[in-house]
Amino acid sequence: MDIHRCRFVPYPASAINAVAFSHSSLPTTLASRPQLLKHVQVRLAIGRANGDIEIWNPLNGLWHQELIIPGGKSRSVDGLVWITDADEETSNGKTILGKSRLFSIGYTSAVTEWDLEKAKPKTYASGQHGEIWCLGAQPPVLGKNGVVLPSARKLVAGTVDGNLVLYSTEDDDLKFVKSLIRTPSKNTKMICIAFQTRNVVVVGCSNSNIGVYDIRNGTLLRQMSLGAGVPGAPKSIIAWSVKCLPRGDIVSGDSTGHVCIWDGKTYTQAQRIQSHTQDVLCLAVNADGTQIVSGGMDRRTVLYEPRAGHAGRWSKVFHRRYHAHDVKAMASFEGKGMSVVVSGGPDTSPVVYPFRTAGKENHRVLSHLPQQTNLQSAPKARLVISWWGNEIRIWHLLHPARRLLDGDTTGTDIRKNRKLIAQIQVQGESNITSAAISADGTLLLASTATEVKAFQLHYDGTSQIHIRKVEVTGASHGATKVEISPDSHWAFWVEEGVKIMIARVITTESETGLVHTISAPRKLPRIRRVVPKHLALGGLGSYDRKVSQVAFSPDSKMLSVADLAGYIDSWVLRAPGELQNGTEDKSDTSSSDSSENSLDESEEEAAERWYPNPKGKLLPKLDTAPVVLTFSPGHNEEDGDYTLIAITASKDLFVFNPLRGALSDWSRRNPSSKLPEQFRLSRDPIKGVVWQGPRAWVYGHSFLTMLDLSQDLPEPSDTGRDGAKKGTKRKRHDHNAGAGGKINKEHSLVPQQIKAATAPDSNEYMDVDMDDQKSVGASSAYEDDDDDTDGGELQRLRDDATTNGEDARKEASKPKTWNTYQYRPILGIVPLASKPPKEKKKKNGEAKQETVDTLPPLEVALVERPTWDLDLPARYLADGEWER
Amino acid sequence: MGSHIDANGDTASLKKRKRGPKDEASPLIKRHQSKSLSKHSTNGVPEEDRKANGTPTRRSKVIVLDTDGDVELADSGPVGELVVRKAHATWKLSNPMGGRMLDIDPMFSADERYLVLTYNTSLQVYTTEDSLLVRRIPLPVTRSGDGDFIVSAALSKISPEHVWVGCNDGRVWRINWTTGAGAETPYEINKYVLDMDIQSMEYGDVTKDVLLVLQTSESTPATIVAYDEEDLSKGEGTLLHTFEEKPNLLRSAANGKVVVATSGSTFHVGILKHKKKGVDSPELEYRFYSIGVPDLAASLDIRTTLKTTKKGATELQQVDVVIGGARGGIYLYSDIAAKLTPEGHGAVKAASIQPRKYHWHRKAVHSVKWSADGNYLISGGYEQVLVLWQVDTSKVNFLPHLSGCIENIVVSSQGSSYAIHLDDNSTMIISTEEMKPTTYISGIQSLILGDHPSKDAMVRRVWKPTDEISQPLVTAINPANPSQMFLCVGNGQQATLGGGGPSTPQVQVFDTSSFRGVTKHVFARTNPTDANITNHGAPIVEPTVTKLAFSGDGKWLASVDEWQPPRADTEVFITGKKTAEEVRRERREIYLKFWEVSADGSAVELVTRIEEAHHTKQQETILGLASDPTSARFATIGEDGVVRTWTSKFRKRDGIAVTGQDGQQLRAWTCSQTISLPVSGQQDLTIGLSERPPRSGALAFSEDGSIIFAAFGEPSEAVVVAIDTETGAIRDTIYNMFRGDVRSIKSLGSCLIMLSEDLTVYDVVSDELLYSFSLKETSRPAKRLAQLAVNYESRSFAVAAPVPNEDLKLMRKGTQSELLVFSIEDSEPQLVHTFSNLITAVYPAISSSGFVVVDAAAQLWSVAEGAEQPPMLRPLAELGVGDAADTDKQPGSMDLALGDADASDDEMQDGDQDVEMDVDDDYDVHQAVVAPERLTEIFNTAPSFAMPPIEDIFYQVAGLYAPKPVRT
Repeated sequence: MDIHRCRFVPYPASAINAVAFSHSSLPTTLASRPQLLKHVQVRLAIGRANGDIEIWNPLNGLWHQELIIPGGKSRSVDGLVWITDADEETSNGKTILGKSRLFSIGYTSAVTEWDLEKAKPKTYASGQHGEIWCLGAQPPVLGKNGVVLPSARKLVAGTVDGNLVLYSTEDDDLKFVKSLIRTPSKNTKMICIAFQTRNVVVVGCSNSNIGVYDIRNGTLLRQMSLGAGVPGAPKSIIAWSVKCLPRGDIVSGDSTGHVCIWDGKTYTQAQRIQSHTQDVLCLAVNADGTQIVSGGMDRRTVLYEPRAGHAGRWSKVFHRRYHAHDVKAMASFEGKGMSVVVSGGPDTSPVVYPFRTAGKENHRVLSHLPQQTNLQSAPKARLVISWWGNEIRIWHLLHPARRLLDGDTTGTDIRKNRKLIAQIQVQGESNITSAAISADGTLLLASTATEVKAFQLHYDGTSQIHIRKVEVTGASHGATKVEISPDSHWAFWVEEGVKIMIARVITTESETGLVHTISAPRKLPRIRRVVPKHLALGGLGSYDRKVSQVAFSPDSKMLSVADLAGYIDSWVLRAPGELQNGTEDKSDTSSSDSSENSLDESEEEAAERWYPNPKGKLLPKLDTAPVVLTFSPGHNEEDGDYTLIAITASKDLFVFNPLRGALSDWSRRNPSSKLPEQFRLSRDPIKGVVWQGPRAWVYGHSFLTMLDLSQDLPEPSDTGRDGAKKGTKRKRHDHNAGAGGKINKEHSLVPQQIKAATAPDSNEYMDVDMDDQKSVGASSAYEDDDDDTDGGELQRLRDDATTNGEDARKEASKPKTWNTYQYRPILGIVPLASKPPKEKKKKNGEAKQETVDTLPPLEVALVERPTWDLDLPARYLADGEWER
Repeated sequence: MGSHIDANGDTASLKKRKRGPKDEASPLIKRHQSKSLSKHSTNGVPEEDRKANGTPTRRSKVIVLDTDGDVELADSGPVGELVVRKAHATWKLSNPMGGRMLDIDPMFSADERYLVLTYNTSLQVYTTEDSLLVRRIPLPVTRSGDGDFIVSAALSKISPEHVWVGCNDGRVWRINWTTGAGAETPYEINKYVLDMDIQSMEYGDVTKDVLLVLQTSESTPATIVAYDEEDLSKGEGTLLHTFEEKPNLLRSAANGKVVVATSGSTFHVGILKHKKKGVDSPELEYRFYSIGVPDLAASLDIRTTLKTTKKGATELQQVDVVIGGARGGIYLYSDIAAKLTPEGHGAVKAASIQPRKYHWHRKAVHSVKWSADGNYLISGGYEQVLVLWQVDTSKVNFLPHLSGCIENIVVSSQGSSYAIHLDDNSTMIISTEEMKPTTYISGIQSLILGDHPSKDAMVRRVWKPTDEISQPLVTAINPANPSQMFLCVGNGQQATLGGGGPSTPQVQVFDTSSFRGVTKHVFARTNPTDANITNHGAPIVEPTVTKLAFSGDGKWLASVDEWQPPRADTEVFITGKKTAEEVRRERREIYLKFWEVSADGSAVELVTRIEEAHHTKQQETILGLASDPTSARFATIGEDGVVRTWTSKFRKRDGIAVTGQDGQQLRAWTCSQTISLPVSGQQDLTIGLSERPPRSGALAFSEDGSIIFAAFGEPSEAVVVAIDTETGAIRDTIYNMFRGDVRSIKSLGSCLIMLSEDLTVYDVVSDELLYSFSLKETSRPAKRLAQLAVNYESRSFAVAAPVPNEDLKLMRKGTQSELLVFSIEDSEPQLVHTFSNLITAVYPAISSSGFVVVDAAAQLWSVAEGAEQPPMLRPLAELGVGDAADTDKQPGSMDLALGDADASDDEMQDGDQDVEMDVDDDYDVHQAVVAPERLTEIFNTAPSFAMPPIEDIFYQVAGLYAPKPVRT
């Protein structure tokens, strides 16, 4: 594989301004009902300065970025609030989980509710007040045992001009209700907000005060003063963050670097902890109020715990510097066996660190790069496109890497090997959600939340590029994903996240070159999946049916899409009559027929048409959301079936034969447990696959692994990394809180081992069980290990049989897997085509193994976006600090 | 003075005579010379033989002596015994004074009126009220050899007048510090003692002291063993716990209910099991746990709170352990006992233990302690900053700019004061309220050779401190105030050793009569800013004061200091062929400074700073500095081969004399004469600098100040030049007096005493070599430490040098030194004594006939002739007031002082010193000791009607009795 290691492709990651979990902790009542717990959809929303909202699924510590809702022009997300309604019992004893709704503010006077299914704003609401600087959601009414009772919940927003305003969220709507409090002085900014009880709200202000208000009547219950500022600093202290402990005590972090604990009954200061050298910007508390975390401008993340023997007193346990810049926002989540705090800041990488197991387990930095690569290539034209914001850039990589390496082109500067040939700015408010380029580089498709745009490119490799807009009809809704089939005959996009549209691309030759026109799209029906009503109504609704992955077969005759829930739909292109038609086919045909009357195109359209794959229903649902869906090049020799590869967020790899609707033989022989260890144990999510014949080059954020799917994977050695014997059960490393793994013994703050001496005169010890009292309590009922058994003894028998039967000679000769961490962090890898060098063919005769020689050459562009390349804003440095 | 050189005649003769090579000299010289040389060659054999015969001659002789053929000399007796060669010379060596405070927590007496400090060879008891030494209890620490040192000392819990002292070789003393009894009769544990702690425990109805000893031996692993007094006499105790690894610290608390020991990166907590009912026999049974620490433990403290059960027994309520790490973190394990197993459970379980981390220190936390109320942690280390951590608020308070690295912190039992032991050999008591020192005890702060490396060395650092003494200690005695000794010292032991060479920018004024540091002056650029460490982690190197000399009247002090950048900082300058050494030389800063000393010696003021006293193309080292004994004049000799004399003149600005604040005319020092020495290779100076061989030099004024004797030259080629101080003319040149580098030259009467690798006594008048010895062949660093001192009073001189050992490359711990005292008339030494520690300085005791010796254990020895008393303080107890002070009665300071006054007065008369000096001495003797003359001076100034106001008289008297404010 020849790699163009590209760092010139920019991707300006944007600062994190807000993080929020849909559930801060799961109620203890759920612990007894693991089935229900399983369906609770916990999501993390991250708001960025460019207006992007990312939805992450914690997924037991796998941290899968499911969705990016792109922002728009001069938009930003500065506050995020989830409201999760109370669970409802239905008459048949089922529980409808509470619906989760996401609201955001962005330094305007409006509150936005987001539609996650359609990945676009749902409603706005605004009132006669200044910019909203903070937003808080009224806590629900709690019944006995902490059961959340159905109740209307309001949003309270604090504004820059000192107003506290009320928004109602009742009836699935968002409405401005009233302005609750008007601070007489205009200079008072409401910085942060927290609810102490359902009706008492604590608001941190910019004038050294923290106000406590009753939202029923808008009275000021108490004003808690932070005192005068330190000498040399502005007079008034800014309370950047307030949080309430479950027992009512209030925690605040301010611009003097102090974290204060306030008595929740008397509203007096109980303790003041100087733990930061600069402003404290954010706070998080855990569900039972036994831990506090603060983050600040000095990059520190500080953990506090109550002092033993001093009731009600807290003290700092330790601090760490996880971030490269300010720690601006944080949120905690406990439940489903996890206990983590996620924080973010201008360094753009979310950091996850363990909460209850702090000091014992490592933190983990999530990638600042998107999960779905915003990189595409037109291999034949050697074009690479990348996009962000409202901009698409097209690069031309002039010479094949082989030529550069061999040095047979004299005077070829590596720097001159690339050329930025076009920068396309998409008009309109909203940013690009997805873009695609045809293989020959003549058609470019880009979508925003409001429209789908197509451009025709004319570029001969040397002169100026000509770009012409192509009309796209019937795409008024915008799209979340676009794709062009490999043969450039079909344009594909997903409307509102779920509707699959496909349109014919008609190419005609004219004197100026190729001319593309795109016909009216047709909606492709998806297989109806029966989702229990109680699940469909609750939680995030049908959010998980959002299409996340699209794949065209290499011959463009098959299309497959996968959604976040793990369902795979597929369609085949057939001439009419070639295939027995499905049930829903008729209505669809008629609708498209009626809408489209063009004569010359109808003939074409009549010729070929997408039909649902008859065996498509047989494809199983994947456990977790797929991160890669791709067809391997080439057909199965036996029955002409395609090979569809799906890799899930939990690092399972499945190979399907979609026409048969079955798992392929290879996949049966090679369960995920046989995947190479580096691949399985890496915490990095997988981002994509590049094909080189049967070889799949799988890459993630920091690794690149080759898997040869024409061979069986090697048996995993019995002594794994921790010396434990591996069965067929998927290896589960020690369960941890959802961030990094256990800290090494020598770096751990918490003793990893306590030993008790057995007798005074011997130096023998026995290990002491560390009874982790602080284990994640009742909600730790994380018991879905059963799902991981991919087979028992039968599986092993089969494995044995295959390995014995397999030709050992073959195994020895060809690498089956290969892995490197050399490239990081990888934004994406896209293939490029070049004329195969002649030597390759000559070798044909000498080589004895045909498989080796049939490996086609592969040339790729690998784009790295190192964090040090990020253009971070200057950090405020305190006395005695310097940039290392 | 009988041996005055007749200036005219001598100079004339010197001028006249062209001196040839030595063999032309008189037969006496010839004989001596030849004999000494032959001696050297022949004598080596018997010397070697004797060693081979297995005679335990650990201290071999420094000098091969020759008088009349039978060579043997000075197989000096055991330590402390004096070797007297001649009846008329009864030189005596005093008991050592001072010493080095060890890295052991100071002990407050129960009433906090006394502080007991552990020194390397003694226990010393001081009063906290006025920082006076009450008692010095010498401990025979070095028994078998050099490896013994005290590891621990702690007050007894049941009899507060006793101190338990543990030595690493297994001896344990129980010493009554109010009487000094018990030093001779140690208990013996036949194990190596690593650490020790004392607790009182109930044995039935009796409460006994129990020693918890962390011990090991070569064959057995380390164990914690408990001994009561009975066990100690038997030598067998109760085994409590055995270690896998090697522990280093042991602490216990709450009457032994908790024992904590650290070993590497684990700590072991032992909790006393409850006694079973009905069993009377005291069972010391502990449940021990081993818990990992994220760092190597360097310091440890326990805080316990007890609760009283219904039955009246006390129980542990909470145990908080704090551990200071070698990398600077402080780890606080709160309520650790409760998290470990409650008794009676079958399965051993522990709750998760989450330490709190406090990190401010850059390097090892040398000491960390709980405050009495548990709200603060107090820690200290290399940074010379006392850090007070408010546990509740995480607020950190600092007491910065202490004079040395903090070694130990002790919180007094009432919690009202902290005793802080710094590594500049001082201990202070600071009140917790105002953070002001109330007591300050400071010993000699010169470099010492310690017993074990600093705690900072537990982890690898970017630099390594030197662990040797490579230079003699630079000292000077104030002639106007002979008890004041000026020592060039650094900012504590570690700072001094920091950057490769010693950095000693400060001068400690040490009063030998009151035996304490009076003050400290900064003589060169220091580093008083926040950090004593660079961003790269290396210590900041400060200049070294290399020469110090008082003018004859004691009013002026001249000093030379040198600095060159550390090697690591000069790498950037290395260009072309230059070596790092050359680059450093080019950037050397050498200053000659002249200081005005106030009458009481407490203040010095910089008068003139000369930047390039000696220079060629670059700054040249000043090899010697001498002062004219008769007038305020100094002379220097530099590596450029030039002697300069320096005199002061009135300072003028635009022709008008500059006056100071009080209207006195200010003076400035300038070079008055420049004399180039006739050196063979002088023209080389203009040629490439790098090719020049290193030269050495020294100079001395004759006793009458008329001649400067300057020795200068390349190794073994140095010549002595006699320079007329009036004219600057070179009167005479003497060749072939030196072998190797010139170490020192002194003039005594008509004689010149020259020290190189030979010791030569040469009569200038008669042009005779009186006698000469060769120093035995030894290693280069040892040669550098050979020193010479001359006492004009007794017409004698002393030579000190490390015991020769060619293998000894570094002057480390265990190096021994030998001191020889000669009379100028006699070629046989009158005293030969071997010191078990390296002698770092020897200097004459002005106004007395003796010498004072400073050794590498920070001890001061006085060598005096006859019955003369060394002018050194003795503890109050020796003066007879200690007992009074020990009684429970509050001794009024007046009583104490008057009692003293008598004693000291007697002393002085015994001492038979001349009266004038006596007065001076008294003035500087400890303040509480007031001579009657002083009082009469106040009261008899005038007839009663003309007396000053009573208030003035009161302040004068009060001024006599009240101790001077302690300066730090």
